[in-house]
Amino acid sequence: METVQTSRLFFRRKPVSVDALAPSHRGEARTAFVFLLPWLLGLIFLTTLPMAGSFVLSFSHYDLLSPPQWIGLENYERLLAHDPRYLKSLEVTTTYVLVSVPLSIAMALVIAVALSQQTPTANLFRGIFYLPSLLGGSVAVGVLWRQIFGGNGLVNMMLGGLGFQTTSWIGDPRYALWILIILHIWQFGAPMVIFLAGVRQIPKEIVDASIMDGASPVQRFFRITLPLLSPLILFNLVMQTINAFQAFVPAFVISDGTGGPIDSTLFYTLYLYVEGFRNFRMGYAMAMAWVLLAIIAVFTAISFYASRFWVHYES
Amino acid sequence: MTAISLKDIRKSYGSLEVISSIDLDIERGEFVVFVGPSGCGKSTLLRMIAGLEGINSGDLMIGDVRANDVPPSQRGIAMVFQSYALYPHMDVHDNLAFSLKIAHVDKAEIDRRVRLAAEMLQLEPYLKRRPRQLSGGQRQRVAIGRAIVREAEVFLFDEPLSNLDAALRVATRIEIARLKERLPDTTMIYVTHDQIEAMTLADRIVVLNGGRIEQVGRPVELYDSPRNVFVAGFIGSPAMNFLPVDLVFEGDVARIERSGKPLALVRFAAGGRTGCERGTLGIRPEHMRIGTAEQALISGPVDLVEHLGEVTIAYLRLSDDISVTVKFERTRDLKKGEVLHLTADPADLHAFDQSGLALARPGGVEASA
Repeated sequence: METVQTSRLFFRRKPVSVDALAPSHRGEARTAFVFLLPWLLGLIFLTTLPMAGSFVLSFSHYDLLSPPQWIGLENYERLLAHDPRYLKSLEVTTTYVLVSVPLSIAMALVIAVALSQQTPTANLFRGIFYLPSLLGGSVAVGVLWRQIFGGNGLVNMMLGGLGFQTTSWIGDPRYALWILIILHIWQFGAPMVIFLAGVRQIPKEIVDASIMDGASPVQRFFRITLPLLSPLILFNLVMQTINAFQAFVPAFVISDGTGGPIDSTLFYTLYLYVEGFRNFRMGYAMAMAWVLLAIIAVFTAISFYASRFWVHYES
Repeated sequence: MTAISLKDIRKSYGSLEVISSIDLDIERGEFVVFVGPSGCGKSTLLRMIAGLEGINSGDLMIGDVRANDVPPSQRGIAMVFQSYALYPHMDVHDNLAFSLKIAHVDKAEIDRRVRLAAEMLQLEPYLKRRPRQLSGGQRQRVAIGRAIVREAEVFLFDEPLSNLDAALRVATRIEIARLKERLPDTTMIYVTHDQIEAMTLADRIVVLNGGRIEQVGRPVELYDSPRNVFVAGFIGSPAMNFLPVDLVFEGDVARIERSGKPLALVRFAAGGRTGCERGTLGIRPEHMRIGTAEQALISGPVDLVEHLGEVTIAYLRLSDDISVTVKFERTRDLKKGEVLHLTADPADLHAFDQSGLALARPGGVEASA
């Protein structure tokens, strides 16, 4: 409450120029400004201006070689009404997000609860389960995944050895996206670490009270642990969703940058890359980027609005 | 009828024994308080009774059933925790009803029991509030209510007032005493390090030290006749004063000498012992009064005075570098450095032998010191 009041007061104050400050404070303010300058320059020249530029260019035809031509809403119109590949990329990405995010969060939660017990091997397993998250986004793991699920990969060797019929999992449009979904779920380490910290924050006496009240381990998980972790579930849900919407490397590596087979792994950002850097339709790619930003913003807003019905805050 | 019986109960963590051979019978409807210093094992013992800690050896009998391996929820026991342990995502009603819902109790019965507990604890206006919207005292009442709705035969309280401020602690203590009156058949076991809580609430007090029972008895019994130096020093506030003395055993009676000077008319039972040994004389601060230099048991200069209004507490530093505390009723005008000559009624003196055990009185006190 105090912070809110303080910040309100802060925002109500009229801006004070450096010259209006007492001499001792003036030097302090200038020093602060010098230290803030690198970040401020980065914010202005590397973030704000490029974003503003991309927004303007999203209303243009721009191929990097000739000057941009203003075409109004044509890029946006084409996106939403005349580009089946765009709609396909949207469908692939939405499926990827809707399946992989809940499953990776569920996996992270279950493993975190299991590893929250203080056993001699708990730390070792925490490290092992976190490892894929350190490697998961890298090109190397994409290549490794390709080797595992390719026609002559490890999975097929095992299945063949057991007498099952084999297929190229990443070459078959029915399975390729699911291989990427499995790869995403495999990288549950980061949300797991957050959940682990949350589980260990649950007061022991609350758990003891629920034991005295007769709750079984499963009832304790669903009625006590899960509601008390709901703020962290929301956090992980939002962060994981934003990351999943922007997933690029796995699809790029596994499909050789094509989004194939038959566009089955054509992620939104991969299609954006193809349009921008292969087909040199920069204006169109920028329009796609702004639509993606809008989609993520809407999703985040919905998540926060819905959180009032299922997220329990301590204070 | 015995509600709970502990027979040679032990608990160890690795090689560290935290509870050593506890034997205790608690009657049905009794209010028993476990007291002792931090780390004495009182909370561990309570958690063992609750089933939240395992028992390494010995038997825990609840009624006629050996309950060592009975799950906590099936022991007929409810527990009130120090930090309240309310479920923060549930309102008061759901906190109270949680155990009943888990046990699939009929909804109408749940409502009846919740209303009854809420009425008993004046929680009716708060049933729809979350714990964070309640004061500390209200939260503690909800925690107690959670025990009431279960209609358990045994209530365990683990330092339930420790998180409350002084005024609220007194009010809640009185509420717990009233609750006990309303639930006469319910056995209550209460852990505290606060002597006032122990003395005011308990039918019997169990004094624990280093995982062992030092003494079990009624509050006044522990105050008047502590079995050993530890109990004598632990029960009573300010703590009992201890002075090193020589005990002269003469078969039937034991005399006391201090610095080679016999303390006239102070006698204890020697239990057939003869000879002389070092011992301890115990005098409670409230039992000392100012006398003459000739009568004095203790003489020394005032080092510090505390005026508390209803009482005045003076700290004396004796010549042999021993500190003595004296408690006078109402306000006393004492000056730092002023020499006080203190005496006490022999009936109020306690003597302990070399091993710290109290010496009995020889069938009464002979005369005033």
